[in-house]
Amino acid sequence: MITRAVPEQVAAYELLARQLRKAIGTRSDR
Amino acid sequence: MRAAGQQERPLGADVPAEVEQVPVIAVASGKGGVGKTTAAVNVALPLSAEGARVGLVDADLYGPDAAHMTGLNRTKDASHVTLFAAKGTASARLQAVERYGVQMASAAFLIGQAQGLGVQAPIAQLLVHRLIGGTTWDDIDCLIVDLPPGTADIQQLVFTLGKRATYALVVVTPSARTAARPRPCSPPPRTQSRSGRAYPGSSACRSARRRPMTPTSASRS
Repeated sequence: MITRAVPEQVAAYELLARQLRKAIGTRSDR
Repeated sequence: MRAAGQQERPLGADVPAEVEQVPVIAVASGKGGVGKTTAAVNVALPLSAEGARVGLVDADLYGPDAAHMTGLNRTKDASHVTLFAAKGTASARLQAVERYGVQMASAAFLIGQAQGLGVQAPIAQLLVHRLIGGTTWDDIDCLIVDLPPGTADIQQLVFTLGKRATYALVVVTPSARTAARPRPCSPPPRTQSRSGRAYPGSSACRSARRRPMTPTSASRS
């Protein structure tokens, strides 16, 4: 997180990133 | 203009196969100023920290702030912007700029920070197509595309470019106006898309007033 944010926002972005990572998979999955 | 007998090539026909298969995470909204760029950048960073190789395309040509948010500013004004160039020439491909582990392509690298792009839809599509398919990416796992607000030509281009999985991250704020808008900016039904929850951030870093660059010229080598 490079912009000024409260910890809840940071945690929300990290959670979203983890969900997206799971959704897109890896190159071997494709 | 096409020569007689020449077949029309669809926009995106020259996108390299490996880039064509990379999933796209499109960050969209029905209205401006809700924090799309903030969300795009702040999702790109933890994705990269998790080990994914992330590309970030700043497709908001009229306010390319993703680069500015990461501290990248082009101070030198541009005299022209290349829309397409012959294969093998020096300007044929753009080079992604890596920052905080994220590879970036942005219109902000093509024009000076005090300049603005006053281009119409077809030229805007060409530019976005160049940012996505005309950029040399280093083995990326996904491409985050920070879209301009609304449902116009650039959004349609991104949602139909290549045969790839497309995910839409629709950003809203706790406002009746922005909450009412996300539906129209969802991708058309024929694309593979999944909605993500939006986490609105601050809308700091809005673009400063820009001086229009005229005329915008295309060069062909």
